[in-house]
Amino acid sequence: MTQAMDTLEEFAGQKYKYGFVSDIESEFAPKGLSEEVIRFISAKKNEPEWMLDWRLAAYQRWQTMHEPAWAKLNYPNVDFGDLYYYAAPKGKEGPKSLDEVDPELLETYKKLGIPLSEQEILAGVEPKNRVAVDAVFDSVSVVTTFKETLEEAGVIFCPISEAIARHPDLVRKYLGTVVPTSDNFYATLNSAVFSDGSFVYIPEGVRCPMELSTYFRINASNTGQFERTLIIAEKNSYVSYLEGCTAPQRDENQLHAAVVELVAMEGAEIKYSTVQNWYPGDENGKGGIYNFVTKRGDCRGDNSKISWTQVETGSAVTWKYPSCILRGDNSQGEFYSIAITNNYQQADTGTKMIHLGKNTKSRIISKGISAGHSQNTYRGLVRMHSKADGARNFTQCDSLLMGDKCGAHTVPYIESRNRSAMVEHEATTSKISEDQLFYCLSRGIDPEEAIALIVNGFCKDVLQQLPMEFAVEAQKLVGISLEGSVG
Amino acid sequence: MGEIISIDHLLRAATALQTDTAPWAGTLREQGREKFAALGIPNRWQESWKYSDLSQALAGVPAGTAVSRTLPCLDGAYVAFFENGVLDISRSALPDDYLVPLTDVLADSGSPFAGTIGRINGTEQKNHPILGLNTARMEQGFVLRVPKGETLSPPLHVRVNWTMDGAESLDGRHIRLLVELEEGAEATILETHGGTPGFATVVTELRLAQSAKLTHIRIDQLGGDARQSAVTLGELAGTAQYKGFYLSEGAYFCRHEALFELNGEDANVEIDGAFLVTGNSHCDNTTIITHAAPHTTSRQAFRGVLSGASKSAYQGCVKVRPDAQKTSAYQMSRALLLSKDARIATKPELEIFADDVKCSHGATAGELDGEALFFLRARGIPEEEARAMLVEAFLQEALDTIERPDLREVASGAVRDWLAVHATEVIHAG
Repeated sequence: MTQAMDTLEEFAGQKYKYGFVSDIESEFAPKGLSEEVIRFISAKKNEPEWMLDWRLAAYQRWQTMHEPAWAKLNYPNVDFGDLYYYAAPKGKEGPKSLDEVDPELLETYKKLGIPLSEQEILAGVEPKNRVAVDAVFDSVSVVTTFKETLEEAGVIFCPISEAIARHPDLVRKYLGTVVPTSDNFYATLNSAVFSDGSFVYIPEGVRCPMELSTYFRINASNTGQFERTLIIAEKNSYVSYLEGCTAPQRDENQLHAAVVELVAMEGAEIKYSTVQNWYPGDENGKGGIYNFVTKRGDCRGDNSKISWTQVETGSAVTWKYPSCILRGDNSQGEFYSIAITNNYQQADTGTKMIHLGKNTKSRIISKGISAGHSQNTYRGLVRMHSKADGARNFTQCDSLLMGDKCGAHTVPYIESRNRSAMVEHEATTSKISEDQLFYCLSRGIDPEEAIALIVNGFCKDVLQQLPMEFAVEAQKLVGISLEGSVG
Repeated sequence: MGEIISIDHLLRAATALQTDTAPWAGTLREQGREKFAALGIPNRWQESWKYSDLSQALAGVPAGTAVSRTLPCLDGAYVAFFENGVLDISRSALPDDYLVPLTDVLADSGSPFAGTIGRINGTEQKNHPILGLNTARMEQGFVLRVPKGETLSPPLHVRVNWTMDGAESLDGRHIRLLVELEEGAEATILETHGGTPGFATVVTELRLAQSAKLTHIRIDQLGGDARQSAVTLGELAGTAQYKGFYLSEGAYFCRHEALFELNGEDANVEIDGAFLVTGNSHCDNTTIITHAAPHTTSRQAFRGVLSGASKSAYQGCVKVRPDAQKTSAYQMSRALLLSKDARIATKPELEIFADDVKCSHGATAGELDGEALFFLRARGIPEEEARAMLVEAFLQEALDTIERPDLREVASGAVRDWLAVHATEVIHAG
């Protein structure tokens, strides 16, 4: 094992391969947060009056709110006055095609392995496997691919700033209806200052012809990223949406406070997958992203379904509870999660399943893995309301501990107000089975590989839920995230 | 509407305590006062009191649903009889060699218990409002010490009964018990609570030395209007064993916390519990089991039968400290909801800082198993009878964990009694 450790230490510096900084000139809003900054952001985006009012109302609300302290997280207070709330790559306004995009930027995305260039995709992949990408760089959406193909199907997939300009009625109708501006400290902050994100609208009866994907990248230093994603799936439609995140390796902590709202109407299905690989800080816990995210899906119509899958490997601090409000009768919510923490990372993550409608079903599978000095908490709520006749929930949360300096915690809240609702919850915490490890080692598999193998097996239930393209990446990520944790 | 109960109100009587107190006891009370004054009356905004808002319960007016019940009795046992919060020696049969009334202990400036009272499981006592209040106003109670290698025989029955009008005791009545089992000592204690206190707190501190064994049965059969917040604190040395069984029928406000710390290798805590709640009653079972030494084990299993518009909560927390390797902890909570308005909140929490552990928990909530019901009905058993059978069977599994036949009979009797009184709620799906 020491041998493996030595090799690992050699490569320690390269562990976070997305830690580079792109040298792109950026335009910033003045540092700090004030009404002026919000007006600046709104003006930059040429937003209508109602949008600005909406932001200002949220800002006023935010000033009366306090940072939540209930999570098992320990980090120095964030100085919200010392951040840039808007940073945009300088360049021509709104690139019309890829040719107009800063080549340095394209290079960045290439390094990240995002096939932004349409030609590249067209050359390499069959049309039905294509992925449409919206890339968000610091505060703005840089480029969205495959717009035309999607438009033919009636699907709208564009930066939210563009949606506000081009589809104001749709945005106005749904924005803030799932996560209201008053929801929580970070969501309210986001409502005031969000600068970009993706907007997806799937019309009635349409099955989105390709996977939609957004890549988020925080590049500029001292910048907070506040993106807002809104996905609306009309009656009997289907969409699968992927989200990936990375950030440069910096010594100071960066803030990411996103809001994601999903609306599924009758018979619609939304599948939302995240591979979160923000910079987690170095092995001494220096730097890394503070990730405070509010994600919520509303199964508004009967027979609708929302499924969250997340692989959380990055961030110094994660505070994230993707939730489902199961309003429609027979609606379904799913939450599949892998949260891996190593070194000094802290994650407090889980889900909420609020059963309101009859015969609603939810399923929660959470796998937490802690290594190094990290702390990993599953926090979840399952609530059966009095009208949720015949509702069902099954929850399984397993934690794996690697090393005696880390912690794994489980805090599930289970509230039932309906006797015909059935709630089942089980949780286990243990370390990697020595038998399994021995079995692998005795067959000549080296320790790192053996651990990755066992951990991947532990996570299988969740990895299987990811779309093909992501599953492979996620599996590798699981291995990389745990490097150096053996011993 | 009664008078508004404030922190001051609850503490005021502390100055009017009757007995002489030794300086150490005075200091202890003062610390309790300060603690309670700082923490205040717990309300639902405090995480641990989310499902039990004492502040609201003290301000509320109970509906007046007093049910007179025959309270259990354990034949041939020692008895410590508390009437309206006061130890009534004339009606007690105390084990004089082992037991000293609290009033005597508090008055004794050289008491050997001076360093023990208020110190058991100090971590959990630190920010506990009820501990603060109880310490500030403790006067009635006892200290029981079983010396090395001895066994308390017969068992001790602690009978706490309230006959006074609830409104009279709304300013709070407080009982404090301390049980010390020295190395290898053994004891069996039955604690029963009946009647309708306006507001009572009962704090039981348990210290189990090396290899000591305690069997502890707690039965809360309070009147529907009662308000009681009870805390059992325990500290276990190596190979010590605590076996608890908690039966609760809830009340207007009824909370019991079991806060244990396992300090020595191979210490073991086992708690089984059942709660039977109906009407508008509230029942909260909260446990925190801290594994502070390697090779310690704990097991908890709670079962709830809930009907009417009752509100129950089970919050069970297992903490494993960094050096407590090879810990094994198990936690199970099952709730049976019999009516459309009953509610249950379950929070089985794990907080683990050691890697070589086996910890698991499970929780379920739901109604009677339709298939089991069908099975019985297909065999000609009327629905009502079948429902009653299934509820009894569900509880029987908990009762079966009580080893001593006489104690099992006391607990089973209490369950049977409850089922008979509340037959309608149980057999008719309301």
